[in-house]
Amino acid sequence: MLEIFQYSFMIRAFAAGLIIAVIAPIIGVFLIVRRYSLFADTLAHVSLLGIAVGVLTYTNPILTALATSLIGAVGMERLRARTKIYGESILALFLSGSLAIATVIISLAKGFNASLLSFLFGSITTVLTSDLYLIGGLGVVILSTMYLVYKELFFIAFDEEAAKVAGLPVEKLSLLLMILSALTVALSIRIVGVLLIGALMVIPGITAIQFKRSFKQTILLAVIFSLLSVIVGLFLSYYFGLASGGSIAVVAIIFFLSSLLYHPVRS
Amino acid sequence: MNLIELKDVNFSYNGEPVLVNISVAIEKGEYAGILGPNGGGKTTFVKVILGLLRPTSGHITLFGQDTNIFRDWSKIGYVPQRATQINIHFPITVEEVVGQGRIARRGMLRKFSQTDVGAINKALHISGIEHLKHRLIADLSGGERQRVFIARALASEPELLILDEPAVGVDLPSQENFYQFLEDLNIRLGLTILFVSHDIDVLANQASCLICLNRGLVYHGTPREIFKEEQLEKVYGKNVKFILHGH
Repeated sequence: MLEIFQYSFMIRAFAAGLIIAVIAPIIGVFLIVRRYSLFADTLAHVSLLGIAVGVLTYTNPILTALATSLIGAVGMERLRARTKIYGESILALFLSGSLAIATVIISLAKGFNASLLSFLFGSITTVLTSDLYLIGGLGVVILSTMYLVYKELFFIAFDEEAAKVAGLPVEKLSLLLMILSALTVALSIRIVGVLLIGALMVIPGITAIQFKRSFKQTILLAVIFSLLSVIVGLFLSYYFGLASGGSIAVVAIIFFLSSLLYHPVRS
Repeated sequence: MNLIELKDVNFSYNGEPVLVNISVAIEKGEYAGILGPNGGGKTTFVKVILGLLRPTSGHITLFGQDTNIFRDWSKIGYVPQRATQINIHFPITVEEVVGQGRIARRGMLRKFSQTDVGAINKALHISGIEHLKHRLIADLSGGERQRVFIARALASEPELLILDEPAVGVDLPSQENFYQFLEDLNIRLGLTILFVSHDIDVLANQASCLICLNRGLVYHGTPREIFKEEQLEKVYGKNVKFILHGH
């Protein structure tokens, strides 16, 4: 057996990483085609606020991150649907707003600066058994929900107006997608870190889109690229002592650059 | 039987009246053309019928039911304005787009059955785009894309087809084929058609009745009548000359 799997923390990191690698790009492709790629990054910053609250109150930071991420997602979707503020301005507002509050809390709770880095960039040694159960449990919930509402979310992503005419509850389903995104982001933090969530949610998706396949095949390709990025990234992280999020993101970007060779950028 | 009926419908946007006291009915089997100048309320008219906009006052019934309680949306096939230009870089095949038209009939949370797959294939066949089934929407011409959106509307096996300027961005020969195709759908399949266009020439030759909107309902009748000068003046204002081509 490979030396890497002699450590139970690595087995946990792989198990959690593989679950996230499947969910993140599925949600990510929907965000990309709705031109909402930065939503994941914004939610990640909102999650950082949750982590700060968790550390300050000695609660499991993943749970508090889940809570703030959910509140943030619902808040952003409500603002988008009910006000005339541009979508990307809402993202900027939540991104800087939550980061601002998070930094205030972090400076109040002096002394957790060391663990902060692991939340920012991901750290494979930090996946606890309880985290793994949470990631596994919610992972199943997210995947089965996506399976159930796939065709409806697909219709809305492509043509919101026609979906409304077909009688679909477009606003409720959009909110559901935002909630699923919020859960996915909060669960991904242990592996890829707050600053690199986009690497798993967005990069495999845009890589897959370069291959010009059907929507279903694009999602499948995105999952394959994401799984490969996580596997290779975690190996690199272990053998070279690198931050897991960074290594996974770098591998994902290498896949993206290679995909441009398959489908050269038009000048 | 009236498939669509509007009674005293008003719609204002930011206090500005867009539709004023519209009362009109469209019968089963009709090919109704909606004409009018830009800003005359054509698209708004379609949107209040489809429930996308709520009228400020008045009543609308679809298939004899008030739109507030109407749930049978699969009876209506809708081809939106500029359908040929929406999201063309979306990674989606022709078959996937047409499949979306089946969702209203299948219902939420249910997977497609063999019947649905059959209906999707039939819609592709009627629209003459079976051979494009696995192609990406991004790789098609404007005319081909237009047929894909019609096929999507047909996949729900509708009784009423509503098209909002579907010929925008389509080359001329494709447009002519397309108008012929619509006429076939109306005559051979018995579909009721509501067609919004600024192409008075085409509508005059094909539609069985014309509805002219310029905020209010300016004209409702046969195409023959409208070419009496005073009618056209009401719709477009004075000193407008139309050159009509015979087909």
